[in-house]
Amino acid sequence: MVPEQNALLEALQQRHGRELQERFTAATVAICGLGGLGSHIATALARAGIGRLILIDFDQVDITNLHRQQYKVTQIGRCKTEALAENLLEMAPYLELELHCIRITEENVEELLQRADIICEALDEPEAKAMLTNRVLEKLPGKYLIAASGMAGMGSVNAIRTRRITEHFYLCGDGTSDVSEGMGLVAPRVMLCAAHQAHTALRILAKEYEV
Amino acid sequence: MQMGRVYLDAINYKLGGGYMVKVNGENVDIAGKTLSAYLATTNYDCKRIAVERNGDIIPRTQYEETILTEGDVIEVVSFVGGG
Repeated sequence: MVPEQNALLEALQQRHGRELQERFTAATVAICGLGGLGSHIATALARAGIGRLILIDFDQVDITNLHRQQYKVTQIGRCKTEALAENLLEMAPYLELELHCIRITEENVEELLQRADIICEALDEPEAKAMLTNRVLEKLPGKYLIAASGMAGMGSVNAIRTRRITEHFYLCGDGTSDVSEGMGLVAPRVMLCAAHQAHTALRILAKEYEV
Repeated sequence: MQMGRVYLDAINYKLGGGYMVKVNGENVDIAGKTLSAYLATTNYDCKRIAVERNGDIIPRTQYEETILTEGDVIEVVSFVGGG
């Protein structure tokens, strides 16, 4: 049986405090890309009681995603937006979701992201990451952007870190570990980078801007 | 003229400056160059980067007309794949 909305809110307030939880509940966070980074960022933020998530990905769940992404074998072939929404609502039934099964391009960035307070870049390809970063910082200057670069392979967990590049731009990762170096993405290290991004979003909402 | 330059260099040296631009924390002697001219001397792939100057993004369309000046603090963020 699903608890009442008030019961879940009270549980969150007990953990985070009333004032902080109010900020989390009032916030809208966009997650661009729902792979190893995005599916974990979304899970963490849904559990923390963020009020509204904008989930964007053009892809379907593939068998090769299961080693590091928050999907189930029963969801193979489904749109990641819909599959993730289903999983998130099992943890946070009153979460508001906006789903876009679409590829992010220079042309649609502003329209897709204008309602977000904070934007998490969780895309795969370096060109797409750079495009989104440039576009958001140029066209949506009031938003906070939390991007990621360098989390592949079996390198040290301690190499993953968060840097504040400018007032509104944070970058998580080790900066160098590329997927093309013979080693793919390994679940805990990607989750770690996603955790940096998700926690940075929560810290921004808590008005803790330094890293 | 040579003396003048030497004198100016001495002042800059005292100030810890030189004709330097700080790029990702390192002093580089590129003041007066355009951003695109500087990037052409590096291994950066322009499709994979975002460049900030003194805390502001430099739009991609302005790399050719952006002239780096002494004391600028530049951050070049170069993305690698994976997500």
